[in-house]
Amino acid sequence: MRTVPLRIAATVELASLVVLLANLATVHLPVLASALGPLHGCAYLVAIALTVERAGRRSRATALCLVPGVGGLLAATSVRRHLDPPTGRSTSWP
Amino acid sequence: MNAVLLAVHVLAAIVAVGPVCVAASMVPAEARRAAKTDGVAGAAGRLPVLARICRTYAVVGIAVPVFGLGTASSMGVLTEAWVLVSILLTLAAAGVLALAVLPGQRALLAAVASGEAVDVTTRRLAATTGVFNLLWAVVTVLMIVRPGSTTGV
Repeated sequence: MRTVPLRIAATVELASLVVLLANLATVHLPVLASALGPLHGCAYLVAIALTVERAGRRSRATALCLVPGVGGLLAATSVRRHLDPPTGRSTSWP
Repeated sequence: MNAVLLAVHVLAAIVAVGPVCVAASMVPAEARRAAKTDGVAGAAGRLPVLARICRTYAVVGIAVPVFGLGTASSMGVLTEAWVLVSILLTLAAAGVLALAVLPGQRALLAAVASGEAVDVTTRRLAATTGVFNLLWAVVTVLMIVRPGSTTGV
């Protein structure tokens, strides 16, 4: 199964969090916070939904995707490794 | 900012939840057609497409409650009764969709593909889909009427 939608959601999740934290540390514009807050929350939940759909509820990838910020990217890597395993690795979910 | 958040919220509700309501309602009817011995040609082939629409747009639909919360918080109405009731009903609808409708569709697809009897599965799926659509309709009406709010129609 394709991991491209998951990668997009994961990238938005991380990028929006970085911009939100940078905004908090520097200029602190309320407009930026109220625009990117929902976008980040959305990307986080979409990444979780896509990971659960691809890897199942009780999987390593689903546990990883709950990590804030980088969880989506970790899960995408984990799903891809499961689908396209490097030689010599087990293909079963732990 | 309120206008942007509200626009995204309404647009996502129309574009994402509408297709889920329609496609999910069509699944039980198409399954019945596919199960008949003299079944309508192509009904079994349409089932996976309808199920895929539901799965995909359910994920897109996550934007609706998230931007709804953003809008309500930015407008300062998050603690009003109609918003709280809507949040609870939306949670219930999301639960019905993720835990009953989508798994039911998956079971139905598997049963149709293997040629098993689908009467009970279809009936249960039709019921849960009806509950989802009803919850969604109530939330939509709450968003328009907004009982207790000074801006209600």
